[in-house]
Amino acid sequence: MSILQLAQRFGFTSGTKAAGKACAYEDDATLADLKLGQPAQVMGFQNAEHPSAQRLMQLGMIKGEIIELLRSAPGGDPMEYRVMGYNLSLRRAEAAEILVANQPG
Amino acid sequence: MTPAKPSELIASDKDQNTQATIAVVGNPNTGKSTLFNLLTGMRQKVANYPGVTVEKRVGELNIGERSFQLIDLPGTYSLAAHSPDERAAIDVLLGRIGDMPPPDAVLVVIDATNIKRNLFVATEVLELGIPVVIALNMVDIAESQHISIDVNALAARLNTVVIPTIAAATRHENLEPLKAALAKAVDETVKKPWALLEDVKQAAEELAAELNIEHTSQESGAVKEPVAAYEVQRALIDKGGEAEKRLIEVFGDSLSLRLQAQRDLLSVGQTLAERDANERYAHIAETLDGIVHAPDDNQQRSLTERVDQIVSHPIIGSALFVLVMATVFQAVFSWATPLMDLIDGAAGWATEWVYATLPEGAIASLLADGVVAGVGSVVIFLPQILILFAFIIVLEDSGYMARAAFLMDRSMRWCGLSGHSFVPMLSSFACAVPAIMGTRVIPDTRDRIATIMAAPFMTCSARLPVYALLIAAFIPQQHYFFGLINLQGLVLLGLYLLGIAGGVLTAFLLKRTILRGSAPTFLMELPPYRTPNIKSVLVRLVERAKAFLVRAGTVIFFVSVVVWSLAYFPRSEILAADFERQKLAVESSMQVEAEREHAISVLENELAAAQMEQSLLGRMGKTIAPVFKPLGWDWKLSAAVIASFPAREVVIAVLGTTYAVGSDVDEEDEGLRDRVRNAAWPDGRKIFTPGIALGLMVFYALCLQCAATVVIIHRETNSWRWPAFAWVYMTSLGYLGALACAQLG
Repeated sequence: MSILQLAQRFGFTSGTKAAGKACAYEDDATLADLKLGQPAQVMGFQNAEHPSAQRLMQLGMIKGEIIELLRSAPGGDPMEYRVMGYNLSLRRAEAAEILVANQPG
Repeated sequence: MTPAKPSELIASDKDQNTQATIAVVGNPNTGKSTLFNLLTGMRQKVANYPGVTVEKRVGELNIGERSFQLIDLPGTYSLAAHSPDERAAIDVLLGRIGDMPPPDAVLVVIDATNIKRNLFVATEVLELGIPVVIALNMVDIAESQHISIDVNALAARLNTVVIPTIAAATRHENLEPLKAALAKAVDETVKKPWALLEDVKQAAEELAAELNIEHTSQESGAVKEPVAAYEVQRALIDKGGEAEKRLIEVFGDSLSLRLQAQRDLLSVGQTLAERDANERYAHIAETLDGIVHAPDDNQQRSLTERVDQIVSHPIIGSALFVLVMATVFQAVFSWATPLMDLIDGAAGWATEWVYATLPEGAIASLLADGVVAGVGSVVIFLPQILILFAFIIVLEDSGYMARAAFLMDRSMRWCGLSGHSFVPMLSSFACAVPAIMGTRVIPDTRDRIATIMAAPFMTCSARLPVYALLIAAFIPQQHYFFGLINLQGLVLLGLYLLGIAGGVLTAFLLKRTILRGSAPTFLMELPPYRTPNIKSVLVRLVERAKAFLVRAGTVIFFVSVVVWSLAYFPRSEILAADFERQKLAVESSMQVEAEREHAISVLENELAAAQMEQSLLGRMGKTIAPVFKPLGWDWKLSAAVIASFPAREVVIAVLGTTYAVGSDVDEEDEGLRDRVRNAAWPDGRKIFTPGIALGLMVFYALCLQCAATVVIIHRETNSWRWPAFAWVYMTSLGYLGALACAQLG
């Protein structure tokens, strides 16, 4: 592990500059797979009938919305995201319920 | 003569019969409660909604000659309800709470810096057909972020009144336009309510009409309120939510099939909730198109983002959190101590004054040892509670509390709680009362109750004097590792750890048994950092102080007087006469004044001890002593434990009386230490072996000897079951702990 990787691992440098690749996410990627500095678009839910899915949609997690990972708490969980102009924290398990795809364009 | 229009009739009815009501709705972190506090000031009443733990805040707003009732609803992102607590908002809006009619108008507070998400709930409220005033709050902050909003165009597109307000509205005149709009709105009626999904609304209306016919044709004796179309609409949209559950309760399981059939018709290829959310946000985007100009999101988030680089950083942020909490505790203890000493001094002065002015007897004793001591034991908590609360409110309003919850979530998860529980748990080390009141930040009811049950285990400041006395008396001054480790300190540390273990395990067990819930969620907004509004902070502080003094004060006062009378009655005339004889003998035989006074005070203390022994409390102690016998306690200790029910630190004064060293002792008193150390059974065996003393400490570490906490648990859980459970559970644990220690010898 290089010093840069170590520094990133402990959150001392943001990954923003390292990013840039457009095709970063697999087809079945979820919000839990999001990488720092690589926004994605929301595609839907594993189970749209789940009460927390309904709640998340009301919070702006709707199809096509752009979402970005900002940081994660000690131990890598929960995670903080930027969506619809505000910051939202989700546990990793909840984030894994939300399907994402690469940003258009 | 022209007949009055129906709308005029309704308007005049409002004026004559009841105070018009205005409900206040909005997202969390929009400054909604601050606005509510500024509008109503101190004219507030706080209660709970029936059956849930949600706080119901009602205030009075005077506009000109008229007076309105303002109801602050819990902050919400939508009117959808998936838990009984979330139902409070929609219940108020539909007029389902007791004798509260539906509000005459709704004030929707939206955050100008995040209009899009805020308009979600606003557009839901607009569908209800109640006149709406929108307060576009924090326009000053929006302006500083170069967000421009065409307010008139927004009002026109939403077809409602929009009033810009500013976050720092400390001066009252800033709120005048809002008040004028509210006064006008309550007299209006909405002719044709707007609807986002016309087909859903129509289906809901038809189903509601059908249900109401079935409802009346059913031969149920009790006439229930008719089903509101909007409730059916919510049941359709929020599958599995509270509205559906409620309707199924009334109409049976077959209703869920009918609802599902409607959902399938109304929405193809997606759930109805999905369709509602998608179309609502699409409508909002259309509404805002061209009238809101905001810079790129990347610029907008800069300040909070820069702060969060440090504050939410996994390592630096955690270190900062430790520093913040250390500062809070330092302040709680160092600022509160002089005030507490002052209150203590005032109580002592009042006691002396009572004894000096009134003739000796029951009345003087009731006033001094019952009333003054009772009031004192309530008021003495106030400095700590207020300081701790001031910090909690400021941390909450500034946005820091959400970051603390974010950082601490992982560490709380293994015992089944979330990061929201961390600060209340930590506050409990100062005093469980503000900690339990502070659990209001926890959105999940089960988590909240588990935290309330765990918090009283933490070593609060009232346990310290008890520990200090017992440790100084029974734990030898031994040092290990070249004097670095002190046995007394080690025991104190052990008691702290015992409290933490007790609390954490309690939460763990509760969350796995009776409070087991669906998959835990941690959906939490991390709001932008903001400067708290001083006036709003003060209003909330006063409200909490009042709640504590009134609720806890009355109960503690009552219990103190009861304990006093148990310890005072009956008085033995024989003992008193005996004392007088001995006193005369001392006075005539001893020449040196100092010696004489000492001898008399010894006699007085012995009289008090003898009176205590034959008082009701002493008899109760003797009666209940067999229960405590396995713990190695004599009747004196048993009596002291009973007497310390209202507040555990009372045990020191009671032990002082029963061991005849006077009741005005404290934990530093050498006489009490020696007496307690030498106390013996009739056969000469010492009562306090190290095991018994340790057992007593363990008992006080685990038991719930604090009336204030019991009452606050009742207030916050809105039931007597939880405080009763907590008391029985903790006292049993304390007993078992002491029993285990007694086996050590």
